[in-house]
Amino acid sequence: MIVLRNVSKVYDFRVTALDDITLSIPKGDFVFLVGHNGAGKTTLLSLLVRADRASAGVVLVGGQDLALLKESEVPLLRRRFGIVFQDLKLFPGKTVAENVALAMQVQGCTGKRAHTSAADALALVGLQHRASFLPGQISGGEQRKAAIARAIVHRPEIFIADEPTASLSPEAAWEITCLLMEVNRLGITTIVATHDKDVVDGFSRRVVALDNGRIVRDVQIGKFMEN
Amino acid sequence: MAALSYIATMSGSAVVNAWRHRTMTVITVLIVSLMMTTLGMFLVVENALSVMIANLEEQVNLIIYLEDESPPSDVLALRQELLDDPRTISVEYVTKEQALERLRATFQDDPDLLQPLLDNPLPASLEVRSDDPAFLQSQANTLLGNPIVEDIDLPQDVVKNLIRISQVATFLGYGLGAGLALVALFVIGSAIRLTVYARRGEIEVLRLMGASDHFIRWPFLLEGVFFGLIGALVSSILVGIAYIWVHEVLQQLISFLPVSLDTTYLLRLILILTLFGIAIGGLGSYLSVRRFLTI
Repeated sequence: MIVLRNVSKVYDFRVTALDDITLSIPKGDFVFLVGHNGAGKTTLLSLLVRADRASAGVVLVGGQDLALLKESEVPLLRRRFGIVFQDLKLFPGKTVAENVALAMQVQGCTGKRAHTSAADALALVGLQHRASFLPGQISGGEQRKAAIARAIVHRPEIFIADEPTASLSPEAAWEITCLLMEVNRLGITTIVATHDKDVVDGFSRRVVALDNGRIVRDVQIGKFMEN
Repeated sequence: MAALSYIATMSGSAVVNAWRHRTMTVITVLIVSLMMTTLGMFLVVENALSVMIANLEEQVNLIIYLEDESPPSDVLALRQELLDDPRTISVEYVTKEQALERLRATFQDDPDLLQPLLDNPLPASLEVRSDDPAFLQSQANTLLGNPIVEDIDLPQDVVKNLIRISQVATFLGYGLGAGLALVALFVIGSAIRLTVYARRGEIEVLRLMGASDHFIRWPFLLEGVFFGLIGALVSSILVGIAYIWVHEVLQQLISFLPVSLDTTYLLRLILILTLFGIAIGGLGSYLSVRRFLTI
């Protein structure tokens, strides 16, 4: 369960990225976080993994108040997440399999087990045939699948994807979104930040719309834009 | 078993990272080698100078010329008194006859010069050797008042210069050595910092994936140690060659001073350079990575 209560984030005392946000995401939910560039989507996600701290309000993840978290506990919090970054951030010098196995090694799982789990995750996203390739040697859609595999290999409680379909063809974007639905079906709470209208409209899921740092709409089954 | 697996993973990661960023690895190792070689060369030259000065100091003698009628017991007592001082290396008694023999040997090419001598005018003497010029100077001042001492001969200029050279060499040895070590620390640290900086993105991703500080730091730390070790090995080879070369040159230039190769010193120097390299590589990495562990 994720709870944000009256959360604000102000940068340098001037730029308000989030303004009095109150939001609750139950365990296992699927949420599209929509809004234009600069609406506050990425800031909200960064607060959830304690990459940033809220200027005001309370952020709770699994009942844990992130403001009270000690620095030494932050890695443990982040291990409960699987993250697909906007720019993917795959390690260019590591193979696809090594990139995925790295997430297991971070969890403290080394050796053969990490590589077995990586192979399973790659099979889940349909990328087992690219395991030994470097990220630069595969397509953009495949890179996103690799990033998804890395994010789910350790079976996280919460899955976060920031613009996972950006600059993909409609077909590839659809395929990736179907994959995100699969991830959610594993019981993983899934939050997808996007401004891809077609993707949001094509899947009837909860939509939380942000504008200028405020929640302007929160509907259980919604479209990208509603009059 | 788990610890071994962890160490193997970290070491493997360090080696793979070093190989995959080989341009930076080569540049860093070259910088480390260059700085360590500079430091090593300085230590070699400093050591050669120290050995030379020590040899020179040993060759400075205080010559105590004795009165002809000095009682042998007094001469022996004086000799013993000098020998009892730990700063004395040796005291040699030169009889009047031996002194004349030496004079004749000096002028063997021109024996006519010594023909007019009907009697031996040379005094017996005590030749005192010490590696402490200041001690010889103080003995000379004291012994001038001794009734069995006719005269004292001490090469004042040489003694004074040696004292000065010793002091300057010591000052330069410590001062320059420390300065150079600091410069090496800074340059090597900067090179490693650049390597880490080039991969700050990786560190950020690892942090967001939930990696602990240890997980991120260890491969970098091992890489730094690896840089330091390879740099130290390269510089050890160069410094070893330089050490042998410096000694050959010194022996040719100053043939009257025996400057022998000291393999113990060379091994000690290589050990110091290796430990310095490992320490500086590890420390440089540790401090550099720390900057990026704040996300």
